[in-house]
Amino acid sequence: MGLMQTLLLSCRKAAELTERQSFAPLPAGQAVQLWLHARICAGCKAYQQQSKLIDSLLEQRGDTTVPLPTGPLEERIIAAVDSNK
Amino acid sequence: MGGGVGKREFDDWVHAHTADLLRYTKARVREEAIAEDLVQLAFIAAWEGREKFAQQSSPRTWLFSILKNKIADHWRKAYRDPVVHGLEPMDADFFAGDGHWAPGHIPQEWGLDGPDQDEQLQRFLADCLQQLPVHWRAAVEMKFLNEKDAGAICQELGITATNYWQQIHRAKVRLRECISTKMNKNHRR
Repeated sequence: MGLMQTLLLSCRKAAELTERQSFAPLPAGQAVQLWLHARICAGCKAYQQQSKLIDSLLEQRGDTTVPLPTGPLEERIIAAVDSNK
Repeated sequence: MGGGVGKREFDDWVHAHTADLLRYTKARVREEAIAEDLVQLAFIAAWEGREKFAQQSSPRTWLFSILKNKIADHWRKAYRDPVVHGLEPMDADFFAGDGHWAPGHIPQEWGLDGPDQDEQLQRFLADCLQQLPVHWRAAVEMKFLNEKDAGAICQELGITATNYWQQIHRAKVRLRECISTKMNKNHRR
């Protein structure tokens, strides 16, 4: 695959393919184009890294053990289940 | 031995798991009241389906799986609300006409020091999620609930796979820039 073909992948397209790749593997030709584009375009390289980081942040939300005062909610739930019997 | 659970044991589950379930849900919906309602709905559904609980699995895993379905239901309804789709805001032009990143929107490395910044990044992410148009947020949330594959999600939302990942793409471009802006403001202090 020539340099010109690589350069023809626009940054907008690269960002779209980055997202699409998270759903299913890209066709081999597109995967290579995307990889090469990120190697020569600093903005898209940063975008890919940050997009991945955001994905892992989205997964990890609510992982902390910050204490929550859930006493009243627990009582409401138990009462709601009671009335459901 | 058959499945199922008694009321007293179920009440123990409520005390043991509500906080974790609520923490998970709060991060994934727009309002705390909605989060509490969804956790309650999940427990009621669990109680109604308690015969299906197999002793080999853990209550926590089982409850979380029911909860995720309730959260997905919530976002599916939000997505399909016809009013919501009319409210898409004017979008910044992240990309120039030729497809390059537009000036002022080019991603730059964040120079993160390590996991200490995760808490701050999570706060930024939470704020930025709240600012997303509702149907984009719904698309993102449904993706990360991971209970169904993309094909099933698309069917439930009534859109094609292409539409779906394009909405995720637009949401991610926006989220990334929103987080970046907050980080820059932070560093200037």
